[in-house]
Amino acid sequence: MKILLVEDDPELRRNIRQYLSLEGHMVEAASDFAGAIAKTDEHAYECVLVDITIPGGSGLDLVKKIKKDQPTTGVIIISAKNSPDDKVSGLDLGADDYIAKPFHLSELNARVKSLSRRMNQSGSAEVEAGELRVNTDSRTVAVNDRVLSLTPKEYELLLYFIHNKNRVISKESIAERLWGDDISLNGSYDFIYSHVKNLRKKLGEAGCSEYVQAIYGTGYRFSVS
Amino acid sequence: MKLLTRTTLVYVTITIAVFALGSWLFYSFLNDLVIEEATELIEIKKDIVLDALESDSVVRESLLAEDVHIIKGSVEEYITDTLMYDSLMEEPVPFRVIHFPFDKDGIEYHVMISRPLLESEDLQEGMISSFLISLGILIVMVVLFMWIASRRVWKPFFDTLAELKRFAPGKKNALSLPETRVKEFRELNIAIDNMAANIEASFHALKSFSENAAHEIQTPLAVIQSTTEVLLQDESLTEEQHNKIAHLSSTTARLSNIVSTLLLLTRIENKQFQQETPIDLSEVVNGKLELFRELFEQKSISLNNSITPNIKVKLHRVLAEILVSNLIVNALRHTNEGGYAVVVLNNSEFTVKNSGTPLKGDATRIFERFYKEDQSELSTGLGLSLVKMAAEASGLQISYKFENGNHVFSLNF
Repeated sequence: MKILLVEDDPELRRNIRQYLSLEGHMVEAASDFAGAIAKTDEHAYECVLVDITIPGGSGLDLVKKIKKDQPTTGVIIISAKNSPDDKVSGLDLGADDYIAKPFHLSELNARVKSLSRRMNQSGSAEVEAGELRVNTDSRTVAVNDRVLSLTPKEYELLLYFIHNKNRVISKESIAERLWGDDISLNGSYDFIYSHVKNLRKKLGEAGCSEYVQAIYGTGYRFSVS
Repeated sequence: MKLLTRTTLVYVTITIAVFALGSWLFYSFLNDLVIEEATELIEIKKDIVLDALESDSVVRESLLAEDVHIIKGSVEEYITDTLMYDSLMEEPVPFRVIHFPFDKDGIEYHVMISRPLLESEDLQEGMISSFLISLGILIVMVVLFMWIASRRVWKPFFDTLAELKRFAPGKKNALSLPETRVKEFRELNIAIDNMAANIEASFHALKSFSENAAHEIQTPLAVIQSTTEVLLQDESLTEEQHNKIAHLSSTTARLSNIVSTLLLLTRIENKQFQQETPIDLSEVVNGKLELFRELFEQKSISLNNSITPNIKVKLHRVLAEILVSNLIVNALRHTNEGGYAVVVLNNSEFTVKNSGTPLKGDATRIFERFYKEDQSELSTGLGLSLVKMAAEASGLQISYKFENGNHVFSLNF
């Protein structure tokens, strides 16, 4: 997938590029408004990640322009102004998603994937990973045509793993993915452990026991090889 | 006490005092006048009587009427007041009496001429009643005038007061004070206008400072966050290195939480979440219960709920979610394994109850920012203050009590 990242902070830009490139995405970057306009005029991107506060203009104007010129391009707003008004006006302008700083790269990656799936209307609602076949319409997971009985949270967790396959994902990132901002006030992330344990058990019963690995007790990695 | 009542009271008190003093002065002046007059008359009579006594007896007979008494004896001349029985009035009446000597044919006589004084009692009575009547009329007029005048005179003041009550910094409707020709009120309005402008300016400065500060912190946090995530992908890390980076990541998450919660608190304080139309609170509560149910199960906490459908409350959705989810998460955190929690929503209140032991610290401080029962806790200590702020910003009452082994949080609407 061809992605344009518009972000003025060089370090953050490098980290996002590095993380998304691991997936095989082609990530180009622009650091300001003019650079972003030049890139979008020249190339067609499947997905554009736009920081609202960029030098030389407003990210919101950029969103408006991209959505007008290339309606099939998915746009995700990255904003340091985590305010509901900002989010609403961004989405009103046609942005497809909104993510507030600071965010987990694994979360951003998952958002990019699900956006690309939504944008790609001709594509199927199936996501495959090893033996697993995930149907994102019916929200079911099957192994060799046998449907696994997962709770809604386990389904979300598995999909998050698949979206970030071969990456180490932190517990905080999982907690925020499954429970949003609400749970982070909770302090301890031990509850993630039992959720992952249950998921691993169900995958194990279906013969996919090796898919989720615990990494030194602080994170997890999903891989199918 | 109302200003009008107070000024009227002062006015009436002064009027009564002035009247009392005035009537006393008037009375003594009049009394002196009456005595002086009686003395003068009595002295004229004395001359007449003396002349008569010298003259022939016929005249003497006619002159020596009731008010002239002659007895034998010597006397020095003097004037005195005395009470004498008046046969006509049938009561003792004050008289002005002159005593003087008269010498005829070598015999000394003591002559007394008396003259009734205008009765001072009657004078007093007459004066008091007439003064009281005029005092009464004056007071009624004063009160009436004050009531009518104050409505007009103080109108600009009350208009200003009404404007001030409406005023809140950061709101779109700015202060518009009424025009007035009264100098004092005009000065008051100018002073208030200046003050309001200052408040407004500081409010905006503070607001943009807290917001900007929070925003400026977000990007560096995002850099740290993403850097730890990129580092975690490194296969060559030792366990120790990996754990240190993971710890860095979770600390960053906590810091980021504190920052965004503080930003949220600022926004609530700035009244950025005003709601005009009621929202369905039942839906919010059910949604949050669904979100957290599995976590309660995991901790073996029995979660019971009784949610009346379609409860509409005038509350911003963001605040509703904060209130409901923080109270539920609070119960989740503070209930021991095997305990229970009960969530109730009805027409008048939203209650979250959970089993536990009484607080060790001060229960009244439970809603304070950064207050923690146990300082080693990983929590930010902001959850409940966020709840309180969200409730107050929406005009709702939040309360905490410990009852029958349960912690009970109630939100009343």
